[in-house]
Amino acid sequence: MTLKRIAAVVILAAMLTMGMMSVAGAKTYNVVLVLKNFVNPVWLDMQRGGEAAAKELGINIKTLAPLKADNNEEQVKAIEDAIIQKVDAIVVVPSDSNGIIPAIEKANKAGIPVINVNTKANGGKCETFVAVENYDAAFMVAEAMGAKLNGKGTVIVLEGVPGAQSAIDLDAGTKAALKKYPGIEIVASQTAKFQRAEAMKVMENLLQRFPNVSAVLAANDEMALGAVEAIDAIGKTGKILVSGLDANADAVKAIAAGKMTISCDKRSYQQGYEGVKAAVKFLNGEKLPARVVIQTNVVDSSNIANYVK
Amino acid sequence: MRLAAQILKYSRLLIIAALFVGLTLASPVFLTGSNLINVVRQTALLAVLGFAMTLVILVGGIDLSIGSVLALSSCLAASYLKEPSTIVIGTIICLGVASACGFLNGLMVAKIKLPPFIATYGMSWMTRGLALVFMGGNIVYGFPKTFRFLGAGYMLGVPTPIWVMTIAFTVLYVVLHMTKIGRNVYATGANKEAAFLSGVKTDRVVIGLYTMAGFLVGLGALMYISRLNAAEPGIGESFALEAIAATLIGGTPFTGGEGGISRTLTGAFILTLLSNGMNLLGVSSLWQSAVFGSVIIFAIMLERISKKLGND
Repeated sequence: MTLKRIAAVVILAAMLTMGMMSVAGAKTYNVVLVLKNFVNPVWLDMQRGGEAAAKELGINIKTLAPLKADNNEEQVKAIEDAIIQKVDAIVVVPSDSNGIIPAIEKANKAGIPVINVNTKANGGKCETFVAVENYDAAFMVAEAMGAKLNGKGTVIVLEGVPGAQSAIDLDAGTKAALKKYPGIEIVASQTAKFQRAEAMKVMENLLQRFPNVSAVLAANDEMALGAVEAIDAIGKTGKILVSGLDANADAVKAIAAGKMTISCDKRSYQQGYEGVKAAVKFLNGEKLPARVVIQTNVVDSSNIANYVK
Repeated sequence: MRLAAQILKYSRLLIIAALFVGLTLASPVFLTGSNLINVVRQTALLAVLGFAMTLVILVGGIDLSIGSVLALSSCLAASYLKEPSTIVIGTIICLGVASACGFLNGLMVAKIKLPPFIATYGMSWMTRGLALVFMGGNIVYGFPKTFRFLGAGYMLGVPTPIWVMTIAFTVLYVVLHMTKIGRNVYATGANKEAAFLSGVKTDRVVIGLYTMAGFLVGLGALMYISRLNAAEPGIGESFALEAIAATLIGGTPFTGGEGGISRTLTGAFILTLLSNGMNLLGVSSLWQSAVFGSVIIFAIMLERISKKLGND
């Protein structure tokens, strides 16, 4: 009887150990990737990048984004749900640099590591920040535009959402680069809220006042494409140069067709990829740098062939 | 007092006159033919969506689904509109989907007796979600010339959207003010039970109005994507609020039974003049929405004061 009992205990213990070992050996991490929305192609590229990294590293990934684009509440909820489900790591692209802080702090409290991608979170503890420098990207584009204009002319600047950190950095970069060209005058600088339709309307109005402007520098491609339509409507395609940032699919087509001049590849795929990779590295006990900088590339007619699919 | 009431009755025209004088003095470009045509062209879409909103507000309702239905109908139709040979099918899909959404709104409000705010709010989430699912994050870009005529073309030297707005306005105006249907609409809006007891099929009126509003949203969807040269599931998030603003600034109250589309046309025009003016003057981005908000409140305050004076 006792022998049987001992044998039973031993077998049970062995089974348990083996079971645990198999769990430990093939422990697949569960990572949640929270994006700003599923509308702008930028975030879809980032999702593809994140999912590619997950596949490569053999982890589970779930990508979430607010239904109402860029809604902070929904992002906070997504993170709270992830905490309840006890995921291993959270990778987040905050819509609102400040609004996201309480959610990050909650994750910190629950001991779940957070990786910050693309847009800086202004508080809470993130293991690393994977992003391009928006300031540098906008600077590069404006510098390239200045060169295309041979350092002289009048330009219109289209800004992003007033008050958003990315918009502030992009605007500062653009204007700092234009300062290098004393012959270039900024005749108007207005917001079009990163939106194509809004940019078209604002440009239609501005073209009434400045029909002979030399160039438009938009803080993203969506706005640049709105400007392209407004310029097309008055038959000045090619005469007024247009620049944006993101190198999204439409902008690539517009550059290839000569309707747009410059964009900037912010390598969203790479950002998603590196973000998820950083999360796995951290979970495996590796030390992360405070900042992972993703290099950007200026896109124009000289290298557009690499982007046309 | 009576004089003051009379003046305030035309307060909106006074606002427009004031904006015209002010902007003409402030900007040399404002009072030019091309800028004025530009302003009217930009008014067209907001006016058509404002008409849709006004129709349902006339019977004490509201339609919060305008922007999302616009997104869904344009996304479902976009791939057909992209091919010159299937433009007609695309147009039918766009108008049909939007009308069907409007019809469903009407059914929920009239038959299931859901509060309009809730019925159309639900519809707005549903249609936005379906649009996101259908597009899977893609954007349809680059429509053929034949389709772009609607939003970006000209007819007899006048931009097509202005023609569309004028036709929509004329048809709605005639129906609302010169036919029995129109009388039934106003009767239903003023007092639904009294109208029902005197033989008006009020449910049909309500369902008809929501469906018509849907149709106008479909028309707006065609105008919008043809002008923008792209269709994406995220468009029009602010349209419902802008359409409400145009209706209210125009002077159609939420209570129903009074007001009309000619007022909404003025409301839409005021809003568009404002944004054109602020762009021309280079008003800082940060100030623009504050200015919009104060004008909305100011216009509605004038409305209230004129009513009070009129009653005294």
